[in-house]
Amino acid sequence: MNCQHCRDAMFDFFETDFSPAEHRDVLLHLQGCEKCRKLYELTEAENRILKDTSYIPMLDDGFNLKVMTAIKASTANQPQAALKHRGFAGLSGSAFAKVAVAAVLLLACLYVPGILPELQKSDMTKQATINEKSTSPSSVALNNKEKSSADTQQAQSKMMAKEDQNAYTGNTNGGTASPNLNSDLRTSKSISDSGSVPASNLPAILYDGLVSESQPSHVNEDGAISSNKIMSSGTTSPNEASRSMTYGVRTVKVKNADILSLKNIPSRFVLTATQNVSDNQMEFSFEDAAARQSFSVNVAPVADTNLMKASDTEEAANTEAAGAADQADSDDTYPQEYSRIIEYSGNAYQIVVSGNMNHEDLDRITNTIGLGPLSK
Amino acid sequence: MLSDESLSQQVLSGDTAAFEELMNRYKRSIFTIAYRMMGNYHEAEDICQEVFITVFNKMYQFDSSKKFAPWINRIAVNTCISTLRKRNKVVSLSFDETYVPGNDQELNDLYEDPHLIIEQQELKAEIEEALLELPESYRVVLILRYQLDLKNQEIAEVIGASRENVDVKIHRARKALRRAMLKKWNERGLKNELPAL
Repeated sequence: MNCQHCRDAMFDFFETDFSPAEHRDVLLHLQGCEKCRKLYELTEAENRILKDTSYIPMLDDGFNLKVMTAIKASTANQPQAALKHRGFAGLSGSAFAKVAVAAVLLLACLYVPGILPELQKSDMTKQATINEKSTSPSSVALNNKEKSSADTQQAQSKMMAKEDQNAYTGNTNGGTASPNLNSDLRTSKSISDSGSVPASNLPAILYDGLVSESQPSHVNEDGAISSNKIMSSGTTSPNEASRSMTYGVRTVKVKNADILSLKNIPSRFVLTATQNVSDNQMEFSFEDAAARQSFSVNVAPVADTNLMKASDTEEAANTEAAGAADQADSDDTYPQEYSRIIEYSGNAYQIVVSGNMNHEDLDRITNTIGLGPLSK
Repeated sequence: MLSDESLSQQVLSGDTAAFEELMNRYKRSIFTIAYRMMGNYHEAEDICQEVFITVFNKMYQFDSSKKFAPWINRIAVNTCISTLRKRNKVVSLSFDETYVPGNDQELNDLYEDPHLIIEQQELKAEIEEALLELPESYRVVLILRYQLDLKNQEIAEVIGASRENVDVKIHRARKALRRAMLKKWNERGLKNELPAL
């Protein structure tokens, strides 16, 4: 082997599929050729550096959250189209062919004389066999079990379908935008499964309605309001289209005589909906119809203030990063989410504010919302 | 552990946890492609996000009888190239246009000069810089081959070429890379002053 052959083979020399015979020839040549040996060292160093991935930085911890938020935003904008796509997506090529064949057969049954009666006859024979079998006690039990199982499956599939639709329409937790589809579903499911937050001497937020301040509340002996109502004070009305950040006061009443006010909501926003996410968790939706802006406030008592503070800080960092990314895209209409822990009357409450607003305004609202006693 | 293809089917049935699992499996490799192609963290992160959003929205187009990895890698490569073209940082040329077959004289000069070896760190910086200056099509095959450690057949599936074509492309890309490095050394007057390795 001469130098030219050696140089030509050098890039391939480090590949696993380089032939053993050529490998041996190159090594023999390198032993006697200083120049080619230097070239060999250079090529080896190049290979090592090209393969080195250690200097590539790691992605942020909040990367998944950012992606899911963006996906939710995009699917929320085009829910019907997405669902339509998904409908077709559920059918692979072969499944689509099966459906087509079934449709043709059905049409044939309807229009070709003789086929339908034969099929009906066949079905009747099968049904008679089944009925005959089902008269024995064991088969009755089996049938009941199957029926129960089928009912359960039907209920489960309905639930899954509902969650599915919510996930794709961005309509989790009553239509409130939220960055983590999955955790939202899991959270609401786990809470509703247990009925309440575990180990709860936590206060529960009970109210699921809307009345004006002039309407009386109905407080039970234990401090809970009997009819699900929120008391609202402040100066909001649908006609108020002021863009100024004027703050009013809205109130939420909590069980165990723990009466709270949700303070400092900008007065241009009107309370449009409330929802009991769980016994302990309430969500309030506000809207400025004129400005086409809306946001929601999720209020939930938390057990461990320190723990929640830590996660809150982390979440805030993530959402700030997401906000910065959105701002970089010069689009302020992405759903944002901000959260904060507020301590009031010996209890800690987490408020999560999300909406389709300018993230600076949303951040301001989050930081100015306060809890206090019900104003009379 | 579920296969990528099974997870993709679960995603289609609305399982967002399956999508997150896919994201966890692939975000590192997608980010590596994007980082190597774009050359900076923030652009690479944006591309990475765009890739996963595209994957989510186009999942219904994925044929689960085929492998998931080439499909997502192809989306990543196309997204990078598309972004590069949009910002006009790189002039897009095909392999054949950029490869000049008879221009190996400089390489031969390098091989004849025993002093043209540089220290490891300098070599690393030179390679990284030279890599970013390569045409995007060269960069793609080098990244897939060396950073993602894909076989040439796998690269062929990603870029939609034959295995033989990929063999040739990688060889040409390596030569182009070395030529770019040599050019830098010449510009800096280091050709005869490079320290020993």
